[in-house]
Amino acid sequence: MKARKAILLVGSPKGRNSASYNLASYLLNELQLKGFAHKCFFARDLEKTEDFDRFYSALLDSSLLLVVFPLYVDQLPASLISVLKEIRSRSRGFAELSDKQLVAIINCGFPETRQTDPAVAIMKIFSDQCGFQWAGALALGMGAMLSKRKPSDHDHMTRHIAASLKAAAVHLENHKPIPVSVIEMIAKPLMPHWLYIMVGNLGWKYRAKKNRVRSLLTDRPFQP
Amino acid sequence: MNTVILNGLSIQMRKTMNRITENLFKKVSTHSPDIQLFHLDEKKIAPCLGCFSCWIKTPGHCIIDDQQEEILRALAVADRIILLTPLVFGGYGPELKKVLDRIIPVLLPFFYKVRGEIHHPQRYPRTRSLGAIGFIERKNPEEIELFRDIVERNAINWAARSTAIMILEGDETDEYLMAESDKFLETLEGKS
Repeated sequence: MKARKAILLVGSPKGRNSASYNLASYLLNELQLKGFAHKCFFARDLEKTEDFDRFYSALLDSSLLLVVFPLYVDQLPASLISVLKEIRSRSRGFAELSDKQLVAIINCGFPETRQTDPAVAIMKIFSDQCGFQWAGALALGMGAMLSKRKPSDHDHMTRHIAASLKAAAVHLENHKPIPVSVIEMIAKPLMPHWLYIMVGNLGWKYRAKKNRVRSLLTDRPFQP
Repeated sequence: MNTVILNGLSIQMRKTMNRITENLFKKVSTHSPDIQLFHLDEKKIAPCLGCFSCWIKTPGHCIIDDQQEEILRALAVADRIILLTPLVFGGYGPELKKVLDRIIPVLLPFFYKVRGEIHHPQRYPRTRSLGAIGFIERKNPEEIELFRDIVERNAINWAARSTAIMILEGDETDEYLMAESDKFLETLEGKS
C-alpha cells in the first residue's frame, strides 16, 4: 500500500530548536508509526521562489498538512503569514487542496490557552479559503516549558500533551477531524498559573544575571 | 502628542488608500505636529529570531542591526499608534506583522495580569491610544470580526486607553472617507 504523506510546516524562527518543533515532531513520530511518510519545511526558509516551489509540490503530493507555530502578538509569525498567503495565491481553485487535511498546532507562551483563539480563527479562515479539510487546532498555553522538554508519557507535566497528540494521530490516520475532547486535553495547563508566573519571572532574572545584565533588565535606552 | 503611523500597505494599495492617509495626516497634524509615518515596504527589516536577547542580553535593544530600531525609538515615546494593513485571513499582513513581531524590546519580559490574562508590562509606560485601519478586497464578516478582535487584543499589549478601528474596501466615496476618518480620530482620542 502506498504510504500516506504528511508535510510539517514550522512557523517558529528557531526551527528545530523550538518548543513548536518539539510538539509537532511528537505527532509526526506517532503518524510515522502509523505508516505516514513525512517531510519538514521551515517558513523562514521559503522566501525564494525555488524553495517555495519545492514545498508546494511536496504539499500537492501529501494528504496532510501540519502547521506548527508559536503565538506572536496574538497571531502567526510574519514569515508564516507570507507562506500561507503564497499557498492561497498558488492553489488553483478548491480542487487542488481539497483532498488534504489541515491541522494547526499552536504554542502560546502565556498561560491561558484562550489567547490562541485569534490564531486558531486565522488558520480556519486560511483553511476555508484554500479548500483544505479543516481537522482542527491543537493549542496550548505555557508553551515555553516545552522548549527544553519534549512531551512524554513518563513526565507528569506533559503526559496529557503526549496522550492528546497520540489520540490526534489516530483520528488523522482515519482521515477524521480531531475531536473536541482531544483538543481540550492538550489545552490543560502544565502547572498552576501562579507557579508559571513565578517561575517565568524568576527565569528572566536568572537568565539576565547569567548574561551579567540583571541590573539593566528594566533599562529604557530610547527614553529621551 | 507623538503619533506613529505604521503603514503596512503595498505601494499599489497605498495609491488606493492615499485619500484616507492624506486626510488622516492632515487631521492628526492639526492636533500635533509630531507625526512619524513609516512605509514598511520601504524599510529593510528582518523577521524576529525569537531569541529574547532584547530582554536578557541587551535589554531594550534588538540584536538585529536594521531599520527596526528607528521604529522602536518612535514607538517608545508614541502617544498614538496607527496601524495600516491589508486583512490577511482576518489578521495583519506580513509587512506590518514583521514589525510587530519585533516590538518586544519596548516591553518588559515579566508577566503581569491585566483583564484576567497574563501579558508583558510596558518598558516605556505612557498613556497611549491604538488605531487600526484595515483594507479588505471583499467584505467578509468573519474576517472583519476577527480583525476587530485582534486589534482589541493588541490594545491590551500596548496598554492602550482607547482603540479605534476602521475597515475599508477602497471604493468608498470621499465624503464617506472624510466622515469615517473624523469618527476614527474622535474614537482614538476617546471622545466617542
